[in-house]
Order: sequence, then C-alpha cells, then structure tokens
Amino acid sequence: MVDMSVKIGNVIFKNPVLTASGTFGYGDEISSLIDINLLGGIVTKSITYNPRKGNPPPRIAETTAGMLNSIGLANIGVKRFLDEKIRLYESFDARVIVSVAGETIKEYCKVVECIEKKDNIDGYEINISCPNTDRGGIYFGIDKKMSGNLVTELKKLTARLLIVKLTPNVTSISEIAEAVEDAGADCVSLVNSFIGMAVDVKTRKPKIKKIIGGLTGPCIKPLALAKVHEVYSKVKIPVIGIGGIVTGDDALEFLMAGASAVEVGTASFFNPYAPIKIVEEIKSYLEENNMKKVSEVVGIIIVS
Amino acid sequence: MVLYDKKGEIRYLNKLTDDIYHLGIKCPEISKRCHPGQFVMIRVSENYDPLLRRPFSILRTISEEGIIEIIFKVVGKGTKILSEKRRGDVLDVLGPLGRGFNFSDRSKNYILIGGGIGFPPLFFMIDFLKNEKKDIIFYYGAKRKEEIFFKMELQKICAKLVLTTEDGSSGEKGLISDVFSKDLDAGILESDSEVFSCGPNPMLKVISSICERCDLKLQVSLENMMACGTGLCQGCAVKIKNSKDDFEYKLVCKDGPVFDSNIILWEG
Ligand SMILES: Cc1cc2nc3c(=O)[nH]c(=O)nc-3n(C[C@H](O)[C@H](O)[C@H](O)COP(=O)(O)OP(=O)(O)OC[C@H]3O[C@@H](n4cnc5c(N)ncnc54)[C@H](O)[C@@H]3O)c2cc1C
Ligand SMILES: Cc1cc2nc3c(=O)[nH]c(=O)nc-3n(C[C@H](O)[C@H](O)[C@H](O)COP(=O)(O)O)c2cc1C
Ligand code: FES
Repeated sequence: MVDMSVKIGNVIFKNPVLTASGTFGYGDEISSLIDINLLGGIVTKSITYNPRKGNPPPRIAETTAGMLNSIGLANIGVKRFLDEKIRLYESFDARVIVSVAGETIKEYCKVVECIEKKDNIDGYEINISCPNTDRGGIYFGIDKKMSGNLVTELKKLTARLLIVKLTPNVTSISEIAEAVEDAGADCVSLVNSFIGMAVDVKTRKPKIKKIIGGLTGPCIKPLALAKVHEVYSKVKIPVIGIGGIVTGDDALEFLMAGASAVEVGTASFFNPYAPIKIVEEIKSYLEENNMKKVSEVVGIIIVS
Repeated sequence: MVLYDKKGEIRYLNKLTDDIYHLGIKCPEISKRCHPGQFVMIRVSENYDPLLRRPFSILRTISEEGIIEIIFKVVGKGTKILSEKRRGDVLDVLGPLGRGFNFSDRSKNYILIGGGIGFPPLFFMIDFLKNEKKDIIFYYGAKRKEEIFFKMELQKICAKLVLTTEDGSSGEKGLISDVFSKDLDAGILESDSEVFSCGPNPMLKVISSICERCDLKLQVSLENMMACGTGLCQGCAVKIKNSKDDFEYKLVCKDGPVFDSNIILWEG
C-alpha cells in the first residue's frame, strides 16, 4: 500500500489532490456526480465579506488549449456562506480550505474572523490577486510589502492552516513567496491565472467584456511549472502546484518539480472526474516505481 | 439533481443540410430522465483544442432505446469535429443539465416560437405533450425551406403550424416575430395563452417586448457561452431584475437555460 497522505502545516490531506478555487463552486454543485471524499481536499470559491455580483458577461472565452475568464470574484459573501454552505462540510471526509479575498486588509480579516467561529473548516487559502482599494487598486499580490502585511495580520487571527495563493503576473514570484513566508504563511500555492486576451476578428470585439481576463488550462502548464520550481527552490514552506493539470502525469510533473500537493482547476469543467482520476494515476505511478510514500516524489527531478 | 457523465455511442448522424446535422446518441440514463428545455454538454474531442465541452439542447428522447437526439449547426471548431464523427464513435455526454420549460399550467393555450437552430427544445416539448390533446400553435421561422425540419410531424401534432422563411421559399416571407406580432394584433390568438420561445438573442428580445405589450407570459431558453454547464465556473451569467430596483446575475446553465422573460434585463 502506498501512503498517499501529505501533511501541510497542521493538516493531513489523505492524498495530494485538491480542487482549485473558483473551479469547483462551493463543493455541492456536482456532488451527485463525483465522490468528493476521494480527494485530498477542496478549495472553495473565493469568499469576500459582502456578496459580489461579479463582472458583466461575456465572462469566458475559449483559447487554444485553455480559456480566459473574468468572473470578477462573484460569490455569495461570508454570511450566506456560513448560513448555507458550511453545514455541507460536516459530512466531508476531504479537507475543506476556504479561499478568502478582499479589497483591504480589514476585509480579509473580517472574513477570516467570521469563519473562525465555525468548525468543519481546515484552513484558508488567501487569494492575493485582488486589487487593494486602499492603495489605489494595486494588486496585493504584486507588492511584497502589502502581501507580507496582510499575512502578518491574518496570522494573528487564526491557528488554522494558512496558504497564500500567488499570482504569476509579477516580475519575481519568489520575492513575494519569500515575503509571505517571512510573515508566517504555512504554505504557498501557485499559480493563479495569467493575464490574457482574445479578440473576435469578425466583430472586432474582445471576446470577454472586461477586455483582459485570466488564462488557465493546459496551455499554462509549462509556465506554471517553471514558477513552482522557482519558488520551491527559494522557500522552505511547502508549495502547492496549480496550472493546467489534467492527468496524473501532469500532477507528477508538479510534484517532481517540488510541489507537495496540487490543485486541479479548468480540467473539472470538461472532465468532472479529472481530480479523482489524477489521484488514481499518481498512485499507480508510485506503485509501479516501488515508492512507499507520495512525499518520495516531491522535488525529485534529476538535474545533471 | 441527478447528473450523469457517460460515454455515449453514436447510433446515427444524419446530414440534414450543408451544415446542419441530426445526431442520435445512446445514453440510457440521460434519456430516461430529461425534460424539454434541458441540455447536455458534449466533449467532441479528447484533445485540448477545443478544450471545453459544447452545450446542445435535447431534441427528443427515444427512451425505449435509450437514445437522446440533438440537432446542431456547424458554426466553428467544435461543431465541425462533431459533424465528422461516425456511427459507433463514442462521446462524453454530461446531463441532463439545467431547468427546462415549466408547463405545469395546462389550462393555458400554448404558443411556441422557434427561430433557426433554436427550435430543438420546442420540438421536445411538442413531442412530450403529443398524447395530451393539447392545442399547440407553433411559429417556426427559418432562413430557407431546407432549414425547416420535421414539418410533417409538426403538422400532425400541432393545432396550427405557422412557417416563415427569410427568402420566402416556404411559408410567409419574413421574420417569425413579425408574423406572430401581426397575428396578435389581428386578434387571432387567444389572450389566455402562454408563450415559449427559443432562438437567437435578438429574436428573443423582440418576442419578449411583443409579449410584454400584450401581457402574455413568456418563457425563453437562452444560449450563453458555457465552460462547465454545472454551475462550477460562474461563466454563463445573465442579468436578471430582482425585487428591489437592482439586478443580479443568474447562471444560464443552472438557474436556466429557461427563464421567465419578464425578469431578464435584455441588453445589446
Ligand atoms: C443551453 C444551450 C443549448 C444549445 N443548443 C444548441 C442546439 O440544440 N443546436 C445547436 O446547433 N447549437 C446549440 N447551442 C449552441 C452551441 O453550443 C454552439 O454553437 C457551439 O458551442 C459552438 O461550438 P463551436 O466550437 O463549433 O464554435 P466556436 O468555434 O466555439 O465558436 C464559433 C461561433 O459560435 C459562437 N458560439 C460559441 N459557443 C456558443 C454558445 N454556447 N452559444 C451560442 N453561440 C456560441 C461563437 O461566439 C462564435 O461566433 C446551444 C447553446 C447553449 C448554451
Ligand atoms: C472560471 C475560473 C474562476 C476562478 N476563480 C478563482 C477564485 O475565485 N479564486 C482564486 O484564487 N482562483 C480562481 N481561479 C484560478 C484557479 O483557482 C487556478 O489557479 C487557475 O485556474 C489555474 O489552474 P488550472 O489551469 O488548473 O485551471 C479561477 C479560475 C477559473 C478558470
Ligand atoms: S457554464 Fe459554468 S457556471 Fe454555467
């Protein structure tokens, strides 16, 4: 028997595969189709303090081997999340990580404070790809000082696992990773989507209303992998790899490049079984290679 | 809601015109449980381009044989690949998805208005109600004669079938919405009717304003871009009026694709 479990911070995940924020709703959308308990965990849609309507449509467009989205953090807000969704997680055997977003440090703190009062939550993933309205709309995640300050404040509020999700749209992602590590983050996850754009030449209109959006899916995998490897070599805290993962081999690439676990996003849209299949495929690989623990593959790329 | 993601074998794929196809897929679980107005998401290729599944309305089911049928028009990459499939090929089919038409109020007269490739869900509804001696009036608009399908069946089941084509090759020349509006003004149609419509957005918008003017209840089926079809991505948002003087977004894939037209904030 292969030991598929991974420990990140104070949380043990039964296997290293989670669903990525914003690509698996709140966990109840397709629970009639797949058995969520076969996964290591789920990361919820990013939750803000007040509900957010999100951006005007069209919000999505397909691109070669990927897609663009500008959902605009549409979510039900922390109050409805606690009233309507948190109960679901009682019966979950998979770990539940709540993705938290905000436009000010105070907003992030308020969301975490509300959720702290409840059980059934194993940790937080802080989505720092949000514009800071106190600072003229500069994205938290592109500024190491703002990112560090945010983590320092959140650390005061919770003893739960605190993952910080990094944006790749920066000059040096490892600088931001180091800043949040210094501020006390237990783990970093990366990447969030890459900024992208597409135009319909017939209508001459951008394919999404907001002109630019976040690029995700298989087309970003090599880009994401390079970022994961870079960050892995710079920080001591565990790294969660995200970006274009569809198969077990894709996930193994991330593990070998240094990720302790992975999150699966866009793949769930066209193949709801993808995350579960990835778990099985990783396991088969480990068995075939006589490995006893999944942690044995982490960072084992051979660089000669 | 029960959902299935199944491998469905193609039982037939017939070419109806240069670019419109009729597809029958064996999917017993879905076939047994779908309602008019619901749709399926089909993965047309195992490759990553196109990446996402494509949504198609269910045309009808042949439940004894476990088959669902769709009609589709080739408009791009995904539908082109689908049109090149063969009998015996297997497709990933996810469904039944969405909320279909609500026709619980059987006391009303039903008027159905379909434009172009938007007619499949209405055909399903007619087929569904065929044993109920219900008077259905069907307004069916197409570009040309060749794009009017199942005319014989429709004539048999519907109390009245009104056809228009843009080139005048069959039925009246012009737009189906104009003929519908004229018939309303001429008092041909019962005022105690409920209208169901499906087709391109600009047409639905026109039908919606006609029905509002005549105080007729209207349900429309919308077609937005979709990535998942199951409510995971929030990509298929449509603007909806809510109780206060405000709006909210609803998801076409989950809250729809059928909506009461009076709550939609039509744009464009
Ligand atoms: C609920 C629902 C039911 C549908 N039912 C049917 C049906 O019964 N028969 C049928 O032929 N088509 C139907 N459609 C539309 C069909 O899904 C699109 O035509 C198809 O996805 C296009 O894929 P493609 O790869 O060929 O085109 P692409 O290469 O992706 O795009 C080509 C063109 O088609 C447009 N398009 C792409 N996706 C959609 C979409 N989801 N809706 C409208 N336009 C789109 C694009 O804007 C572009 O102009 C339905 C759509 C929805 C949302
Ligand atoms: C439609 C959509 C919505 C997303 N929403 C969020 C979100 O709310 N919060 C977040 O941190 N990331 C969000 N993401 C980013 C994903 O979690 C993930 O980082 C990204 O999609 C890359 O992984 P993938 O290539 O496997 O999809 C979203 C992605 C998509 C496609
Ligand atoms: S298509 Fe993904 S939520 Fe509707």
